[in-house]
Amino acid sequence: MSYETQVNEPIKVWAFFDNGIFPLAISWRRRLIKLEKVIFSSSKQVGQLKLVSLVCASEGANFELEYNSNNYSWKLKKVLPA
Amino acid sequence: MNDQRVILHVDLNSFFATAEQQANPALRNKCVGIIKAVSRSCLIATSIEAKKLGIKTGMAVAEAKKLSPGIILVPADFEKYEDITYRFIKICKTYSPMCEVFSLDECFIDVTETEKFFGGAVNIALAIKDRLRNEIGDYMSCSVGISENKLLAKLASSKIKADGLFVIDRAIALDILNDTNLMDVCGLGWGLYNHLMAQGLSSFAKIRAKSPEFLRREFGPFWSMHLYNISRGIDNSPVFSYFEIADAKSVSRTYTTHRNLYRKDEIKRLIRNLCEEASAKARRMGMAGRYIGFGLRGGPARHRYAQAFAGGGDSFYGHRTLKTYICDGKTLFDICCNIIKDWFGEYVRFCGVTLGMLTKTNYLPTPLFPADRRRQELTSTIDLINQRFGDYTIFPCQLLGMEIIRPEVTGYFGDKKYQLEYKQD
Repeated sequence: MSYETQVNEPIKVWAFFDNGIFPLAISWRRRLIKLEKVIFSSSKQVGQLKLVSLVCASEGANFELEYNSNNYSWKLKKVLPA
Repeated sequence: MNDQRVILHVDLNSFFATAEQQANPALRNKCVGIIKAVSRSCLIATSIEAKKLGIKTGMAVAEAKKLSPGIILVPADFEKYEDITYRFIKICKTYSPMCEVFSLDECFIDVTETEKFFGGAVNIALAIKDRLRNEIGDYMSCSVGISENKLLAKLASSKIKADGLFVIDRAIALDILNDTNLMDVCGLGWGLYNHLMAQGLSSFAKIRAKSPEFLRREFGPFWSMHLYNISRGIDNSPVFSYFEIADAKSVSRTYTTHRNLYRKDEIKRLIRNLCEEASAKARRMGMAGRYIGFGLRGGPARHRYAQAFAGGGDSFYGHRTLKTYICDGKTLFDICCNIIKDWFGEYVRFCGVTLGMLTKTNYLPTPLFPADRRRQELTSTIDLINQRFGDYTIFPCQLLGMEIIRPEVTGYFGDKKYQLEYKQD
């Protein structure tokens, strides 16, 4: 059994910013996936660029998203089993 | 505990593995082993579930698979652990400024003066546990030990794993010590343990029964005092606040390769990489050094200055002390190349570079010659670019084509000053 699947694709994310980042839904491969909660978040610095990593739970799977605060872009890094 | 200090020792349980289980719920309640990178053969951390099966940190993967064939191996993500550590320290230091970062997953907090603001030490311990779950993740847990000094607080936190809370006060300290294995106490290593066993001193009660004169005769002035104190639960060492960490005396970078390196150019590239790492760290701290230590482990070596590293093996260590201070990678590399001339080994498995006898670069004179000044300016410019765009945006062409070894945090947080003051700028 695989415990994660590397994806690393740019995606669209609907998120709520309020003293933290709370992704609400993602659009990935023409599917709209509703996210239920943030399981874990961490951030890392590459030079002055800050990347925020968020693991979000949905009904069928968990998604690791990466937010680039420099250009406001999102990436789907991994899909994790629920 | 009115006339005594009140010290908390907070220890994150199976830190690396729990962090991975927090980030990936599919790993929870499973036997997980953390390895440095894919294809590495040594476990650097294990989950609580794996520990229950007898799988320990440092065990070979093959050995762990015999105990649990289904063990899940996860490559370490040090950036994730580092981020959790900073958040963990942030939580701990809200309860007292006297918060000592002991390692990546351990803190001592002296709450003698502040416990009254939070309703007592036990309430602080419970609040830390709650905040850890709310602010970092619901799977994160910690063991907290409360006592009058660091020795007993650390012992207390180890008494109940995982997610424990244990208080050792003066009345029960000796009973607890009597039931404690000698090696479970911080500050007692294998050498001293073997010496104690040879003397028939297998428990703290037996050590306590011996006179100071006997201990002094058998263990010398330093260790006799140490043994006298720990066998009675005495430890007067202060909790060093996170903002009182002394300046580093040396910076170093070590690396164990995942295969033997036979080719000279490969070995030199590894050395250059480590020199760049150590020197960049020194420059970031505003330091320069004039002692260069260089170590290799591999084999079979036929060298002049063999010095055994801990763990044995064919090891080599050489050093140079210069008259001038240096802080650039190229000069450091040239000196290491000079040292390596004394090594005649066949292959390399481990390499370490140290820049010691550090002083502040502000205290050093400006280079006299234009060529030196240009070199210094070039190094500063490269540093600025790398700080802006990330490590190794610009790097020596010697490192082209190899997988560059990048800065990473160590489990012991040995470079606390750098990690807590300079990296957090």
